[in-house]
Amino acid sequence: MQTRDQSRLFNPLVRALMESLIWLPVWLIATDPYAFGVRIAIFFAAVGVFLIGRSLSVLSAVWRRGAILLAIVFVLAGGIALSPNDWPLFVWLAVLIWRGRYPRLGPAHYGLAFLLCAAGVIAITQIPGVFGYRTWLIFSAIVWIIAWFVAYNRSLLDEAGLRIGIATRSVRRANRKYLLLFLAAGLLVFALTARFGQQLLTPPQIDFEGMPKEPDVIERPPAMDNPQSFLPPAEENPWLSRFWDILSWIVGGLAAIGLLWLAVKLWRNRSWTWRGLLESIRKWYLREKKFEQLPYIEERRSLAKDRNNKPGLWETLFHRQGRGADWSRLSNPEKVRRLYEEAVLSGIERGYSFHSNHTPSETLEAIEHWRTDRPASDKEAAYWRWFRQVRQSLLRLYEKAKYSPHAVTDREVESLTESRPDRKHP
Amino acid sequence: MAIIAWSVLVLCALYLLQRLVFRYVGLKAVTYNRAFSAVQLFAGQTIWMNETIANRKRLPLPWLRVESLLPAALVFKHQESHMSINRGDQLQNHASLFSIPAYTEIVRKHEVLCPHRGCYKVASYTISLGDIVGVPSLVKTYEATNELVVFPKLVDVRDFPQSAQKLLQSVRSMNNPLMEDHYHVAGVRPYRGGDSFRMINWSATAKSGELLVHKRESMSDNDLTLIVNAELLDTLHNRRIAGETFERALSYAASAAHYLISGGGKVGLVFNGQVEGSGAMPFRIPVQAGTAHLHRLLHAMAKFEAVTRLGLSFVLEQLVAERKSGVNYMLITAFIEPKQEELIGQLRRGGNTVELLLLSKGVA
Repeated sequence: MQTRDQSRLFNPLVRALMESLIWLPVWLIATDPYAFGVRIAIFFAAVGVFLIGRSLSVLSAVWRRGAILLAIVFVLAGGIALSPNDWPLFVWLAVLIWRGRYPRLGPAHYGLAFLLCAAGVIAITQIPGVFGYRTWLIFSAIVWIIAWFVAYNRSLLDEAGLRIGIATRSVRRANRKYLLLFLAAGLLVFALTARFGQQLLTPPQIDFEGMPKEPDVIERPPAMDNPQSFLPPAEENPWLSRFWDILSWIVGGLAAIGLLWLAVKLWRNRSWTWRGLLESIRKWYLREKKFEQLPYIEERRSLAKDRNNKPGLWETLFHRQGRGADWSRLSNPEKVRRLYEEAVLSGIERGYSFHSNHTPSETLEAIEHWRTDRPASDKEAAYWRWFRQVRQSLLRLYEKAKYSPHAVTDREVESLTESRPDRKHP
Repeated sequence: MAIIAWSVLVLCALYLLQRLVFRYVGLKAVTYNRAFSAVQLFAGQTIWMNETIANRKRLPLPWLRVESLLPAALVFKHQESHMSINRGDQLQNHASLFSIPAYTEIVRKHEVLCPHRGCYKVASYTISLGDIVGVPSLVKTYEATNELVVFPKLVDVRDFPQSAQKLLQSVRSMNNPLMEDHYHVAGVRPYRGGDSFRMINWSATAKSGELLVHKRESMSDNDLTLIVNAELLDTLHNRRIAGETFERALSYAASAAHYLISGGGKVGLVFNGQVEGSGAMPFRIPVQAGTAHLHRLLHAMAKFEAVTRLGLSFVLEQLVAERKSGVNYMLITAFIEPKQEELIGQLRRGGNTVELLLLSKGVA
């Protein structure tokens, strides 16, 4: 009960915090002309009106619409009546009331946040007072675009799971991992090609210097190019500066306390080693994940063994492939039959005419006779020398492997292969 | 501005590239197999439906969904609410979502309850593939050949009505498996102590490596012909019998056949309703013994439909016209009409035994 009460209080606050982060660029730009205290007041007013809009969503549909409409009219009319020049601010507050109807953030909301940040990056180039936030806004835009991708991926996965809960936690986790890899690849490509892209997409500059000047045109005084130069340089807001100073001191202090706490912990337990520390981090990372109750039994098996047995692209293109399955996966009778098959095929490839009516004994004998007077390279000569040596035992083992119920032993296979010249098979 | 546009362009280009890759290579070297742990079982039993999916390539598959229309009679024990959507009278949509890394095989085992008799087929399944962002990129439909035969539920002989129970026990006791006195050879069976060496089937023994002897038919009248009535409309009392009663009739028929054949007896079957894949009218299976024959009977019963093709009276008239005697009949029906009673009487007077197993009490 207590947990539910806490979540009831906690969720709207988290939602309000997220909403304020979404609209932070708007707040920064729209409240730039105001004093620091007014800016803070506007920020809290924005959070307040959003919470009001959020609280109105508990009403039934008809009442909710009416109440939200009334609140929007009240904010707009009251605000514009009080300060007509600040109407954009009140429109923004009205939008925040309306956005209180969304209890959760979806992909569209993250997309809105990204668009606001991107628009903010463009807009602040015209506003010197907030230009210092450019880096921060770019960073925020990157974060929001990642959040948008993750949320979009999540919604797509819900659709893929037909919205009936078949998208399990492991499937979601795997999809998130692939998506983050894609984004990382995108960022990498972007980082490598940013300069080229900027050059490509920036319009070419026209060189006015080289053009002949018309004599009857009266040149403007250079100061008129920048009317703001007549104004005194903008002074930094002392309140804002003090606020950032305090904030940085607080963050620094917290970091120092954390470091101190860690140092004390390490000092008290001085038995630690770097290896132990790395091991504990590894253990934490590989800790058993929370068990998910699945309505079925799932088993996974790696097929990496199959991958290793297949030839790679290089081998496929440039090397001759062996026939059949990998040698190490064959049983002893299959190995013997493979050796016999290779002997017959080697003969056929070099011109021996195979007779299907011959018995294995006749075939091997005919191959040996056929090979006797033919020239061969060193490698081939070595192979056929080995063939002559093992022909009888190969025949005996082949017949044993093919026709007999008795097993062919490892030793027998080794007796055939140990003197084989090319050692293709271990 | 240019840098933002470039970042968008880069992301779009990468997205399109990976989409093309998944579209053309995504389902290559992917195999999917759906199999039941048993192809035939009795109603009320549970089996496992195994889904095996393998990705034999370097490209991982972020998500892959397999959908198929399964018979609604198959009940997924642990996932009724999750897995079965659009569950209708005949079919239900079953979907599984996988995420398959490179060179990985995943086996999913679903426990399935088969409460109802029938012959169920899964004709096809559809595979949908998502790309790295999660957008569906490819959908393909494949043919499947899964078939599951659910026999009628077996009931214990002690649950039969008293008179039917007596008939079954008397028919079964006629057979003495040690007294194979017929000159016709019905097959082979393993050697038992006491068998004469003259009975050994040497050819079969040499082939199998196990001592096998000739199995002979018995001359005892240990056969039973089951007559199952498909009529559900009792015109005499102007009422319709529920489908469950027909299922009960088949349960009794299957149990009687199982009881007798497992005891060495012989069973035949006459059915006046529609049988899937058969045009015979009425459907008849001659009296035979053996496990293979029992399977034939049960297979046929799995395909029975409660649609009358020939009235029971006509079936009984045919049996009377055959002028057989010494045959044991068991008529399983929901109701009986006076004319049918008269025909049963004629069969009895012809030297046959007719046991009436009435499913609706208080009608006859």
